[in-house]
Amino acid sequence: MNCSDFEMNVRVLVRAELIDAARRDTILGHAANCLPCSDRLSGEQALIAGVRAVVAELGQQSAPADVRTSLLTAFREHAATTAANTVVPMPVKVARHWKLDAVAAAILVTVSMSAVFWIHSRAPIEKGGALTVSAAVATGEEDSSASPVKGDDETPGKLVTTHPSRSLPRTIRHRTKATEEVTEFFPLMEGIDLDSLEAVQAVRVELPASALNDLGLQPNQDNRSGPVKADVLLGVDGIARAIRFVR
Amino acid sequence: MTPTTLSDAELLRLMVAGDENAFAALYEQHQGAVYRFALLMSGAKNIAEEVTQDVFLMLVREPQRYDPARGSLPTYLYGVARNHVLRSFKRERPYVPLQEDREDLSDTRFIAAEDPLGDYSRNQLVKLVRQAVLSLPERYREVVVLCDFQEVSCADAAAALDCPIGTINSRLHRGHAMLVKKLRSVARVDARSVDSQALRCFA
Repeated sequence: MNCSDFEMNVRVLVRAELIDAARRDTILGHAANCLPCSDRLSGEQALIAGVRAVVAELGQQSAPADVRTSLLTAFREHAATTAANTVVPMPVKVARHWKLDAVAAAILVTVSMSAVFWIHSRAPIEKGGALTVSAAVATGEEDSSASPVKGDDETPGKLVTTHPSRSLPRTIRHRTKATEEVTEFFPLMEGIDLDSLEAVQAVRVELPASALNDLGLQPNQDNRSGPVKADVLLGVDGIARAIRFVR
Repeated sequence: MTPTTLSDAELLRLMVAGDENAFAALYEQHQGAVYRFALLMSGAKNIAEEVTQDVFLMLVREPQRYDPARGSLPTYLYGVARNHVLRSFKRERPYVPLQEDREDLSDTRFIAAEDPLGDYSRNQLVKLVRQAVLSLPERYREVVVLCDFQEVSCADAAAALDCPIGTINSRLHRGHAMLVKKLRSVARVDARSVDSQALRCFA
């Protein structure tokens, strides 16, 4: 055994940990013949004796009772706070505007059918120039926006018309044509602000008269079961945002 | 089953669920070790009390910080206590006395060459060792306190102090060497003091 080996084993020896008897004799034998290691061994023994004296002295020491008391108080407060802050999930109030949903669904179906119908009937429309579906806006300017877009290629009969919604007054009855009377726009989605809509498209559709009832409107006395005309505002995503009825 | 017979993990689970008895049981089981660790590290009872309170307060408020995968609860508590002790050192460093108070060690007699501490009384020995420990640099002190005084294994000490076991071993070895050197130097000074008093007495 050399001094390095001794250094690695001296702690085990001094702390009286389990050690092989032969190994123990080897360590002690080296210490007996090596003055620095003997000095190291005595120093380590003295230190461990001192450590044990300190441990025995401190063995009974613990935090005073007021620390325990204050901690228990803090625990109670924390538990109370945690319990108060625990969110009990309330049953979700299903504020389903089923009437609006029904109208929206009916409109979507009608718009889809109208679109299909329009695609199939596009050629005759272009030829005749008569529009069964017209883009309508409520600017009060007669048909200025409902007319086909005239681009460079002069595509006749093109119906896609984009209008800023700020030009769509919702609360004033007005006429789009001399013979038509329209209602205000009814939003079809909750919380929608029609004034903030951008790039909307208005599409003329036909709906059953019962759709008026769903919105709290009275159908015409002489047309209770027939179809009614309506203008549907579509967003850029193609979803209906609002509707107004045309008479 | 009483709280004292439950494991730390079970007590912790109950404590998180709001069981005050479980928290009290956890506190009773571990407060002594935390308090003594802080006391040996700082040498001040007020710091030890404050650290003990802070450690268990953190356990109450943020129990999710303890990760059983990283070690036992005592190991975690030692780690938190160590951080609080070091924080208190930074906070109170401006008020630490400039000179070590060694008045308690000046009345020693008859120091043997082989066993430098052999002739100290038990109380003197305790004071001497504690002061020597307090004079160690913090990184050695925390390892010596944990492994020697608290009898924590090197692996657990490594987990508590968040460093490799090899570092713990080397710091422990170095810390012991520094302690022995300090204790011997104190003993020599005291022996010289005794000799000079004897000379003056006979002069």
